Amino acid sequence: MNRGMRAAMAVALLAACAPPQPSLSAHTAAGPVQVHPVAATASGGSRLAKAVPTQAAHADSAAPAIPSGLRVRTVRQFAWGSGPSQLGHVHGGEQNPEAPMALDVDAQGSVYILDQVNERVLITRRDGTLAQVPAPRTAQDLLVATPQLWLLDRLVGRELQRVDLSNGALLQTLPLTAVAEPGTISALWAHAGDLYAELGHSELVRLAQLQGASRPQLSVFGRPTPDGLRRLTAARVVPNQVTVQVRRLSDADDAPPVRALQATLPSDVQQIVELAADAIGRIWLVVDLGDAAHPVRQALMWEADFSDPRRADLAPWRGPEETLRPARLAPSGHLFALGLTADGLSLQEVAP
Amino acid sequence: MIRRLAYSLILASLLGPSLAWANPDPMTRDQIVANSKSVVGFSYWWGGAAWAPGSSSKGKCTPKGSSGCPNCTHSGSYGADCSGFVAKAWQIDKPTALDKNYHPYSTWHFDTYTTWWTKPAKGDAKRADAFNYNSNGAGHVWMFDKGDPWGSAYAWECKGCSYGCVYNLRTVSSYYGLIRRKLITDPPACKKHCEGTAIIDETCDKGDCAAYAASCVDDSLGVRCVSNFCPAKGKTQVCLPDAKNGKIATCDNGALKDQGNCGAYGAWCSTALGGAAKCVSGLCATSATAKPVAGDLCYNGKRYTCAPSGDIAEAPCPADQPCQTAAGKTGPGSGSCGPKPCGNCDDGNPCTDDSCNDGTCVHAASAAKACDDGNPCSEGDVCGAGTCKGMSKVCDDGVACTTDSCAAGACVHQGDDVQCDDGNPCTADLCDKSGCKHNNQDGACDDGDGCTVGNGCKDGACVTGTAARCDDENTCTQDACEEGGCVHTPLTGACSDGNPCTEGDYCAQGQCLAGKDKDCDDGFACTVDSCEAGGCVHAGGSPQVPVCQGSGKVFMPSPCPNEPGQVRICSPGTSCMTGTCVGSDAGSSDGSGSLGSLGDSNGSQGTKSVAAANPSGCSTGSSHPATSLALAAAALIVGYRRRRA
Repeated sequence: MNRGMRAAMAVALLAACAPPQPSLSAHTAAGPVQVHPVAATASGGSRLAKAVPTQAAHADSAAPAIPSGLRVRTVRQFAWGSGPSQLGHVHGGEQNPEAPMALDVDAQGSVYILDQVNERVLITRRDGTLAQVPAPRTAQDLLVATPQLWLLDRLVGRELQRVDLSNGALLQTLPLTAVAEPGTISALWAHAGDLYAELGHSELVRLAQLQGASRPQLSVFGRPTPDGLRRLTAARVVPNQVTVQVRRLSDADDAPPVRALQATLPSDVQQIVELAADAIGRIWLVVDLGDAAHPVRQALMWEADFSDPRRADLAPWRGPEETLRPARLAPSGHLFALGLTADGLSLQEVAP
Repeated sequence: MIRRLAYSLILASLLGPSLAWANPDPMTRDQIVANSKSVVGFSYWWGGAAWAPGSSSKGKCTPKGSSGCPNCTHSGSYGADCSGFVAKAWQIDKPTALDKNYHPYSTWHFDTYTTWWTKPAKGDAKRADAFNYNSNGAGHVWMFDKGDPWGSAYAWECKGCSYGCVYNLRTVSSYYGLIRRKLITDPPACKKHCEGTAIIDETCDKGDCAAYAASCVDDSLGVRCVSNFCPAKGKTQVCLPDAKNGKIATCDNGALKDQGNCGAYGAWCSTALGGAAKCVSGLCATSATAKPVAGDLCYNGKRYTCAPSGDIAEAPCPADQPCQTAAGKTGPGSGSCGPKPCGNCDDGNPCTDDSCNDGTCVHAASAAKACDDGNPCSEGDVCGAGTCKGMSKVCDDGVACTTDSCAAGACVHQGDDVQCDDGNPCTADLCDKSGCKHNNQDGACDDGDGCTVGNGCKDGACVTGTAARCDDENTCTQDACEEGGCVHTPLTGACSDGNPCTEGDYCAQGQCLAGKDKDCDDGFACTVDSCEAGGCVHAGGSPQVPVCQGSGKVFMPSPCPNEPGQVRICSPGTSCMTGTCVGSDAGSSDGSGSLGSLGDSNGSQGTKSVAAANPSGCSTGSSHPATSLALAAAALIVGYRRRRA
């Protein structure tokens, strides 16, 4: 929408069409200034003009920084290679630079890193021991449903594989016929015992039960929270701002959100990396900021009542390597994230 | 001239084939998209760019190992690598059939030049633009379709050997820059129309009426956004949502105008009277949709009468009988003149005793008694000071690293590994019901010394690898590793610049600089003197054999016609033997006496010209004159051949 058109619509329709929401205003007054709920308004068409900003940082000097307060520790570092504790890497020549595309975490705290270049999933257990199961060379996401593992091959095999974690045996192959264009899948998602494919970071399409049985097709707009009450969506709204919209799961897809959280970041948002809620309703958001010279990755967390936002600075992704799910919220309510350097990857854990 | 032509050819190869006098045709973005769509499914072909849309023959790339191409092989006639695909889809640098293999540009070209493309800001990306990355021999480029709310992009790309050419949603690293084909003809302007709630204008720009609580309507009045609160046609007044605020506005053919606020006058906006919306006194209405209350009511102790139209008239009570509502409230409600009633005083609180006193409810704290505060995580709930309170349930398990809490009446002990973090990267730290555990783990680690590399974990400790290599192989710097970084301190003094034809090389600002050129002048006009591989070479003239003149002089006949020879005086401590100055030790040479250096002005010999016809005046003093002459002649011949070579 061009500027003139937007202005004309605004004049014609009057701002009164979006009535003020006293409860949100009250929350704004009570909460920190920089991260605040805003009146729910529908966003316009998403154009990359907003999606990929490159201008200089748009720091809002009037807004205080989101306070730090999340705890971070480095769990492990991995060098590049194909050894038992190394991760595969493709970088050079005229081709897509590639590093591990995704990770997931199970209820026991074991971290599963999709090391697709080495055609495996590398498993780091809490006690420091390592294990692995085979994976397709072109797998791009994974989802742990103990004692099984789902692997997404969206581009070449255009299928899901269900693997037995105890021995790596292939239990099931599920063609992605329910999705018109599998290449647009942005995540595998588990909810209420079912497996979903998220398309373009918005719509989730149910594919099967987590244990592999077929299920009727169902579509959900936004990522459901573990308590089954809400669903979350996120978007970049201006170069240095992101918004998280919270809707009731039972509401219609086009219903206005019950809450919109907005975060102003210290520099341009390159991309949103992860969005999830934990079992007690805390909302987590991971964003990549800055530019190639000064990359920054931050984790943000709101309490279940949308208050007390806190921040952690994570190891950034220093390279052009493509990823799909480099950060994941564990069942424990801790966040795990990968950081990239020229020498390898680091695995970090973030706790409230 | 030849050199200039060579430079031009090199420059042409760097710039790509554009200097081959080819030109691309104008294209629309739809044409580029069509080309891009047609590559999906074809194989990745390192250095190739050819595909036949619709062909079942896709080609095949087979990787060798896990490092990707060029460690790969390709079979078949079709496929493309990333830059080959983009250049072909863009039809640069000239129109080329898609099935003809032609690969004019690499990501380096896209990064370095703007031959047939521009470099707009990334935020201005449009369909059929491309994102390119190139650095230190690595590069990738892909065709942009559209963005998504997270900042990812839908893209066509020839990804790599294992993937081939695909359409997918992918991340857009900040390392990528935007490039746009020149000579793009924008599609013709759109007809203004609706697509669902979206409105498309004449420039094909898209807006969403729904974002403004409106829908898109195309009728006899044209294409426009019509407010959800208005009829599409006609002029009328309407109440806006949340009528408690009294918002009232005029609809004019679907557009909201002239917004007003009944609430500013203590009124509601109501449509309950039928027809258009109007402002109705807040004292006479119970909601925006209810008809006005007809009858008496009280407000702030005064008595009013509401008319069915929503208007009010004041009708005061006698001074000793104030107006009272049934609930004793001062707001709208039917009332009468007389004593104050209380209505229902039950506040639902089990810890208060409720009563009415002169129109006011009184809630006195009850005596202490058991109650339920509704919180399953509290115990021993009792009434006190009018409220029901209990003690928090104790859930402490005595383990420091667990977070203890109560949920739905049950104790929860959540292990928190982060609290067990011992800061040692070589241990896996975890919290279980017995407390913190630190198990050894292997892998890479940082020993805190930036002057070491290849550090790794062993038995729970970070074992130092090897010292970082700082030798820059420069003799004019002193190399060391200090505080994690290599330091190269410039030195002074002599050095060798690697050129044996220079002398007196010296260090300056960390570099070995050349000294002066070696002096090879033999003093004869007809010879061309030069230095080759450290030795002096004298081309031209007739080879001559030096002879001794006594024990202290060497006579060198001139190789040049009509030019006198030269007498060279041996240095102190040397004497002439077989035409060369040698040291006093028998059989040893001091270096100045070799025939090869005879022509050098190296300071060991003085030189003066004498008549060429006087060779017989020189006595060699050698006991083996024939042998000396033969050696001298052989050396000159060798030198002559080297010069020719």
